[in-house]
Amino acid sequence: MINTRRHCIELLRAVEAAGEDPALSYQARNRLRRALIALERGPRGMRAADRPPVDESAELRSRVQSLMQRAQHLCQPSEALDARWRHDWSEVQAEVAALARLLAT
Amino acid sequence: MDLEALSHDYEIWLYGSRARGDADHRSDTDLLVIGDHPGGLQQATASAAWPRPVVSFYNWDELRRMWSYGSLFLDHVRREGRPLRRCHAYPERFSTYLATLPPFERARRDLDGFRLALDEGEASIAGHGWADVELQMLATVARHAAILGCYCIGEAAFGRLRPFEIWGEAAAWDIDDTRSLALGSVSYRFTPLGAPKWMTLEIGANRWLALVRRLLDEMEDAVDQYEATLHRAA
Repeated sequence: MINTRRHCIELLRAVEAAGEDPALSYQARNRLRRALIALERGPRGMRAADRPPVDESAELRSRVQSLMQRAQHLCQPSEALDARWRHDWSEVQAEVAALARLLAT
Repeated sequence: MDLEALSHDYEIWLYGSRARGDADHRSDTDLLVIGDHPGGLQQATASAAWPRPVVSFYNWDELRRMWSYGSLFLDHVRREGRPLRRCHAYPERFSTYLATLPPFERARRDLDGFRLALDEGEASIAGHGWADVELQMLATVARHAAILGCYCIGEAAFGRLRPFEIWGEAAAWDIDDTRSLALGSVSYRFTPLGAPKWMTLEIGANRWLALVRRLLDEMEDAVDQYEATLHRAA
């Protein structure tokens, strides 16, 4: 059985790793979506006793929703747009890191 | 010169299926807004003239960067877009960008990115990821890959199915395989996440994923030849 929090933290770390490389902006977008969905739904195969992380904390839920909205702007439907990603990534990265820290506590 | 007015100046272009004339009940309205002030974006999204507007907003600096590498998105607008509103100060500004768009420089980088996205998506499905989420993301990968493939072989195409059809024909695919790849991509992209229909859609996922991988594998040669052509021309 998977550890929900550890799994979500790993997904968020993968987002951070992709975001540092402009050539990986396409992957960063997918990794971010994967991480946010895992935070909302929990991972597939989640232990019966676990709940999705957003259900455990109002602050987490608020941060996830905020990041989802920001990601929508950052990830235009038609282009990897690494220029915008580089410019706005520092804010996204800070929020992703904050989410990971919140999960780790 | 009224700098305030200039800073609020913007262009709006229609592209996608409504510009092509093949929109259906599933079609959004694809709008491109270019400007240095979000007022243009707000105007476009507030317009009641178009059903389900999906607005891509870029400032002129971003646009210039996209032009510099021959953005496929700009190529799409160049081929099929229609101006709805031009800048007042420099009405030919965007048109000039489109008319002078250089060849796309990032084919190899994009193909490598698509392959990595497929690898990660498949690993996630095999692990603790959610198939509907992964398949929906990979459906966009597949479509972008088909668009890139068609561009590289000199038969640029956009739209929901056409890029797959053109690639399938060029690569001599069995018609059933082309249809499975194309229709699977459409189903995965347009089925709402979490909908009961996903239980059925996931049944054919393995075959669809194999077709996506085949598409990417076959594109290796096309991208190599395209980039060789670019280097010879440089």
